[in-house]
Amino acid sequence: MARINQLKYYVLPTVYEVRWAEFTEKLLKHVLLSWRCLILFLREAQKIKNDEIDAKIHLKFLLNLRNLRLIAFLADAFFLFKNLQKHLQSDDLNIISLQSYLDNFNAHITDMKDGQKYLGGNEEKLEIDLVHENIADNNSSQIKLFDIVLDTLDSERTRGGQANKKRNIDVIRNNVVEQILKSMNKRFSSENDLKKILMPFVNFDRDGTNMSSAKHAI
Amino acid sequence: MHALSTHQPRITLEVGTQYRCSIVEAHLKAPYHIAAAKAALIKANTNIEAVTTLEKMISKSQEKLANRIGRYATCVFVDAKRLTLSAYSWPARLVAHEYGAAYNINNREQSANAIKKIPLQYVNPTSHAEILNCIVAVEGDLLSKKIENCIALSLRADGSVDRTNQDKIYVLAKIVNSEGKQETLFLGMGAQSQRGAGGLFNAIKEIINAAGEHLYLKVLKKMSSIVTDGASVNIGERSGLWKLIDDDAKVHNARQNILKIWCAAHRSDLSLKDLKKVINELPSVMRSLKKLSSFINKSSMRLALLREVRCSFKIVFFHSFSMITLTNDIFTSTVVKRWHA
Repeated sequence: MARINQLKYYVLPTVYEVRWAEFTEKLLKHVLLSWRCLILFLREAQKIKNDEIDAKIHLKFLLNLRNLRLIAFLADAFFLFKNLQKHLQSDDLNIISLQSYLDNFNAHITDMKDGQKYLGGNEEKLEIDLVHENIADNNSSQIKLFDIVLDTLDSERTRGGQANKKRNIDVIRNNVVEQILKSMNKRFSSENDLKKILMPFVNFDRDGTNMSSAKHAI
Repeated sequence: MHALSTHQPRITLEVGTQYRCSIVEAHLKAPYHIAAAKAALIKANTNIEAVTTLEKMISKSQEKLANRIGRYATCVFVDAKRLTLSAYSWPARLVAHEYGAAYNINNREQSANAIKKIPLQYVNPTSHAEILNCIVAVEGDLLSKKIENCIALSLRADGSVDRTNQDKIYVLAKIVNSEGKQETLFLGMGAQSQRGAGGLFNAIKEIINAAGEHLYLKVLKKMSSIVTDGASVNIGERSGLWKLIDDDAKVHNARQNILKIWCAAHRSDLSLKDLKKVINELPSVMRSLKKLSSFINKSSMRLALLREVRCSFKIVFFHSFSMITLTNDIFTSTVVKRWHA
């Protein structure tokens, strides 16, 4: 079976607490990297008596286009977060260099607003690999990923049997980006006064110093 | 061998023959015996001599490389046989290392003699921990001098629970040394015996003093800032760690006001938690993925099925961008857009 299918599986991490973005990003990325393998595995698991229900639920989740797009977007966002946190934990970080890392992160996250995808990221790759096909018989279309038909339904049934429409993926994307920017700004604004005092003295030489701000700080 | 003889000699058969000296001598000199003995030697992989001129040339000219390969092969072979890299597999690894280090392709006896001299007083996890303490003790004076001579010091402290469920406080110092360069020093770790900010403060003092005599006072006098997470035990206005250190600095006439900094990495983590609270879809997706991970990882049968499905084919689904696509995208997204802007 392995030879016939020729797929790759990345071990899904068992440690995935949102303590640091690295673990979350790893889980999201590995699910995407192993997607074809997981689909095949879940289809096989569906045939096993005790695993039937769970496998069906997971399969439905992974075959949903909206979910796939959300996972790909989150994997990109968490990738940026992971990189930021690695810089924040590095030895060469100080209160002055912190701002440049934050500015860089904010610029990248802002770029992901309004449907823009992270360049070279998972989301962009997913959109490239999606294939739209027209079905001749009933004049409708379907979306395939590696010859596997995806579920494009974006609503779920409530317990009462009513269809509950899920939020549009672009709305979620913008919401996430806005929230990250707002939250980061809130969390990192407490040192602004301190930075205002320190900054004029960082490059304290003839060319690099703004004398009026240094005088103001004194 | 078979080309030289049409039938198998009786001496090599199970029924055997009469072992007269003349028969044995003739057999030992026979070309089929010489060929068979050589084949058996190669098969046994013992003491292969470089016989041809070319082999001798290679073993002489590439002796260093051959020795290095031999060294690695010895170590890897032992690791593969032990099937574990745990600390308790060290005796075998120690012997393999000594054997490999003395390995010489042109002098096989050298490595064999080397292992005879090993005292086998190897390092096990317990003695390893003891030796680590010795290193700290030796480094203590150097650490004290570095801190005495530094221009400024920033203290960092955080607690962490390890795999054995031991809650420990880790203390680091970032200094600007006398040459104006930044350096990060690990001052030590220890358990907190009392509760609250007072207990934490005392634990930090003990940890620092354990690294060097009266080191805490030296640290306090050079301290320009303290970095911790935002737990109330640290930042509490009335009796938090920051306040206790401030008070202690005043008692010991430390030279300056200490800046208090909330760790940036912890703050970024908190903003992630904010995100989880506001965006409902995020916890829901993560929950589904966790369940999927548990579904697979918690059953050996499912893992076995997954192993059956997966393959050795080295094409990765995502991240398989060619450089041309990537450069084209960079071009269109940055250059063209700006051109039209």
